Amino acid sequence: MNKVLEVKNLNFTYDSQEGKQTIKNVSFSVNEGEYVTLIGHNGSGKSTLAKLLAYLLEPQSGEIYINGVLENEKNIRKIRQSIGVVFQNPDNQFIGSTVESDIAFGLENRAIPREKMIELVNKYANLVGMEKYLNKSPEELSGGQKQRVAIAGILALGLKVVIFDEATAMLDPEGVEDIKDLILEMRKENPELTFISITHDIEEAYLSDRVIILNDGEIFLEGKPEDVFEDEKKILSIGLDIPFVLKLKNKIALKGINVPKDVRTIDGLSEFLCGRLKQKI
Amino acid sequence: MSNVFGKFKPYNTIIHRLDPRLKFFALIALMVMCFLPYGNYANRFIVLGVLALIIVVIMIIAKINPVSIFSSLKSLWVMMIFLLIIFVFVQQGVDTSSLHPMIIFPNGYTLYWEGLLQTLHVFLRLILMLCLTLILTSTTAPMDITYALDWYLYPLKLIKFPTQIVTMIISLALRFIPTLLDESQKIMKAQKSRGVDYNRGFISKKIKSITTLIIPLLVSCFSRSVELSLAMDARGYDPYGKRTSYKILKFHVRDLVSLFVTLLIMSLFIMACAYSSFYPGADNILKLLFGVEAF
Repeated sequence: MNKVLEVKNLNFTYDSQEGKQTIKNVSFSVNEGEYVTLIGHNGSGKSTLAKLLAYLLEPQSGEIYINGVLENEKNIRKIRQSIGVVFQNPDNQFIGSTVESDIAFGLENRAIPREKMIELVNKYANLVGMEKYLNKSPEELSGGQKQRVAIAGILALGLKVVIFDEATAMLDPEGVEDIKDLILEMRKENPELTFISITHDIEEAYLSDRVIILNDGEIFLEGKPEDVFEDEKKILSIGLDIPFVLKLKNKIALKGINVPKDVRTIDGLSEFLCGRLKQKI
Repeated sequence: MSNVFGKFKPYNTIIHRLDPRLKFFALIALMVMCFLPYGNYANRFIVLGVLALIIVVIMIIAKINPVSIFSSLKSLWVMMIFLLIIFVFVQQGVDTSSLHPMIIFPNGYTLYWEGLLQTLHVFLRLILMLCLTLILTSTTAPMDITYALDWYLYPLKLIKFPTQIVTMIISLALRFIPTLLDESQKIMKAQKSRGVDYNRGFISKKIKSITTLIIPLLVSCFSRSVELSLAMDARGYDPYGKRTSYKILKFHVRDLVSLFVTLLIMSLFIMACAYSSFYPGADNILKLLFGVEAF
């Protein structure tokens, strides 16, 4: 597998918080096309790590390689062409005055010719389902719609790695579901795209390829979701919860039915149980 | 707050569809026309009347109610009274022999008709200017005004002035006006629920209660700007870099026609101005036409 992102011994401290290190010696790598979720309680350094990965903050020590390129001031153009971030607040990342001009903002920055730009704007507006709103201004849109525009704006850049920094945290439940579906669709559409999702949503983490749990700026656990969440006590000890499906599976296991590890959704679980019932009959 | 004076209303009239650059030019041109010297008061009022007529026609085409300007700007009347006091009661000029007395007080202090006329004249100019600006802002999307501005700033680019930064700042400011208005409403409601009264009390008390709105608003402005700059950075914004533009302004035939109309109107007004200042007989023609003694 091709390593698209490599983090080596990353350290970071905010100027305002002297003595308290926000990121402590973090190392990990992400493969191309992988869907990684970063979870952790408030103040665990998740968002800081996202900003470091996209070189919006400069680490005190340690190295980040994006697509084989070392992240530093000199390579900033290359970094911007490989990695992008969708932030939490839909209002504060809507730069254009209309949906189309916002999607085009990043393309304008890259000096892409206008004809190509129109083509890309239409393509990605379609992909996120905002093609009917191209002329709308942000105050006419809901939070979920604005967030979809932000996603289109990032995807239109044709990046290698996209980071969602709690992109669903400020949305209503419907908006959250929309964005989750969009992520799945996007991954189907473009299997080479690497997703790093920073989230509070344990359920989302359970469905990803890999989970990295941060605690006080350090990597606490890392691995496949079914393995990471296995030790319930350990997860609960750092103030996180385990996914609902897993709880259900644990309860079912007490009854003597062992559900296989790769069943990770409610639908999958009910299918499995129905299958079991059929066998018995 | 939905019906703010001069707020852009997205109708689809010919005025709305005109090129913003042209509208900008016409605005400035017609504003200058308001301020050209047209000789005596009779001439001035006739010329401004014609201009008012043109403006009213444009407003009707653009679906703006011409009367709405009076109802939406109540402070205009305060200004009118203020002007009246200044121009009527404050003696104008040293040479009063050519003025027409209106009221002569027993102590010899005289009020002249000219004071009243001057008030009307200044007031009319102001209203016409307001109407013109209103036409521009309510028929042109804020962003289009920015594009027009960017185009007019082009000469500054030649001397390496970063005009794109200026227009980016303006467009971001315009973009965040509705967001911040929304925010201020929220803060006001939040503070009201904590017992702040924005409506009653003396001015000193009102100012105090306004600070409970201003400070949270400023704080949130700063945090927003930090996030915005991160988002712009993440999408590769480089203020000094070369950028292409998604939106381009096209000059249509209708814009060309309107440009000619504007230039025609301009030249007519300039002629009227030149005529009244260089040809002293202008007064007599007016007398002949309307049978009035020109001031």
